[in-house]
Amino acid sequence: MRFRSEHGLPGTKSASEEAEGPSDAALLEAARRGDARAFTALYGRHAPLVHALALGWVDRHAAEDVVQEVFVQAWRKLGELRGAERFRAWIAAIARNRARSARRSDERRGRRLAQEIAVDGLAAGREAACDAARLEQEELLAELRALPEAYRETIALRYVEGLSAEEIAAVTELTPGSVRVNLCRGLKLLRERWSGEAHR
Amino acid sequence: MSIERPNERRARGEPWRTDPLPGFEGYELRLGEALSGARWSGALDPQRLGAVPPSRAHFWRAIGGALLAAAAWLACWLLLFRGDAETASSASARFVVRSVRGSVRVEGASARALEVGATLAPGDRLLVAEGANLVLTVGDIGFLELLPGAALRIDAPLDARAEGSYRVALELGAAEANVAAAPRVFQVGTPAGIAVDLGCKYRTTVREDGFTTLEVLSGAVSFEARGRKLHVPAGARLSSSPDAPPSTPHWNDASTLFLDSLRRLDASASGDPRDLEQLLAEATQRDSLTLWNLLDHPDASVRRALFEALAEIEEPPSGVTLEAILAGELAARERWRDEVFRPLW
Repeated sequence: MRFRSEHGLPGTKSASEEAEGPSDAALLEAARRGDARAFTALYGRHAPLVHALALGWVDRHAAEDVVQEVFVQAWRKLGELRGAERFRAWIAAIARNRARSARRSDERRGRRLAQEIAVDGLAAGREAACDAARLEQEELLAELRALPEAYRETIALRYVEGLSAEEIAAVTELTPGSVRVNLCRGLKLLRERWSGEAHR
Repeated sequence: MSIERPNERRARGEPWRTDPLPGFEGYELRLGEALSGARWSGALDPQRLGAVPPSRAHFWRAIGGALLAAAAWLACWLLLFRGDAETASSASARFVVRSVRGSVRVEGASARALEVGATLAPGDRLLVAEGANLVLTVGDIGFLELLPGAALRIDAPLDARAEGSYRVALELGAAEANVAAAPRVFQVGTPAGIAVDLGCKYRTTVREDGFTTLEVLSGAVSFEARGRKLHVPAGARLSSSPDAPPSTPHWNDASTLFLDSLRRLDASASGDPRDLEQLLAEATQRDSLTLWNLLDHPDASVRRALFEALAEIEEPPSGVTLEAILAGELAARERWRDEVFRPLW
């Protein structure tokens, strides 16, 4: 799995993984010379990470915007990145901050539009209920966003993007043990709010 | 270069099946199923990249900032010593009365009335009456003004030529230092910590209960107490009590919400996530000063969040890692400040 190899611990790539394509460093070097194709390849590798991090802060629609904005910002600031090996941590840091800002904007906009949403809510609710799975997903993601930051990030990375504890550890710079602890604590809190039984 | 097309080569991973968490097996399955449709599958819109070439703006900004800082230091030094050669020639006298207005008493071994030109010795305690004022020449490095109501003691130097070679203890009231010297040479002790001069001008005020405030007017000061070593540049301030660690420095014009959350984070060893969230929500790029100083917070989760927020503002230098920050390595923090943030502050 490409994502696994790119987000694995340094120095752990297998021969088959190496054969899958150029390294992040090579892509980064090409992108710095203005090669948009190389940057698009970096995007393909790291967008799922950025998306999962964004889902911890904002809803799906806003998270999609965050992913685009993060990579546009990264493209513009590539010259400021020192050390190709730090690309993943760098893009994750941009993602967290961009998502945090998006959430603040959503909250401000939410206050302003609260009355409008209340009026339209019934109709929207009926429409959404036609798609029970989608509704369940939105409810669950809303509960996820209400968890403490350390928990919602690890949960999104595991259950949305399918990363193992070791891969999450490499992304978050925690130890795999800490990731498992965060997952267990986060799941315990989440289970109190969303059991999943009602929708089965 | 052969480049793969994005989002076409990732198989779905389901670690909850291959490596389930004990106690959550069934729940993990339901969660994975419910979230399966949320996985990322979008493509980058190449139009949004535009024609903006990756730049090295940061490098030039850092160079420009360093030049500005050097010019400011030089200007400060010239202002202090222009036309003041007679003061410079008396460098051997560490503290000399430059001007005195109103009633200023000296207590200690050499108790006497003060006159212009009088030399002060370690152990001398100066009491400035209300409505009075005293200016001391500090060696050949600058001046120290004691404002009305101040009480200050002259302390012995730690080292004749290097760190701590000019030391005073401000017991009460306000003193304004205007110093151009190598960092750490001049130090103002207070009941709540030590203000270590890093160059130029600052005001220290001590209340009767020892509560101390530090306001930096130009240059920078390092305030050190109870294990904290805080960097306070011009335009920033902090406060400190004798019985608690000093507060984290902030800009004079920081928002009320920012200061409220900062106050609570300073007071708590565990760090409430809501306070941290509010602090970061209110923070501007310039508030990286406060965020950087707060990297010594006892709660690792707070340090981690601050590291990430700061990294978004300015990428840390090579070798300054999250692990180093989480481990509380002062050298790593200071490298980040000196090599990256100095131009901003």
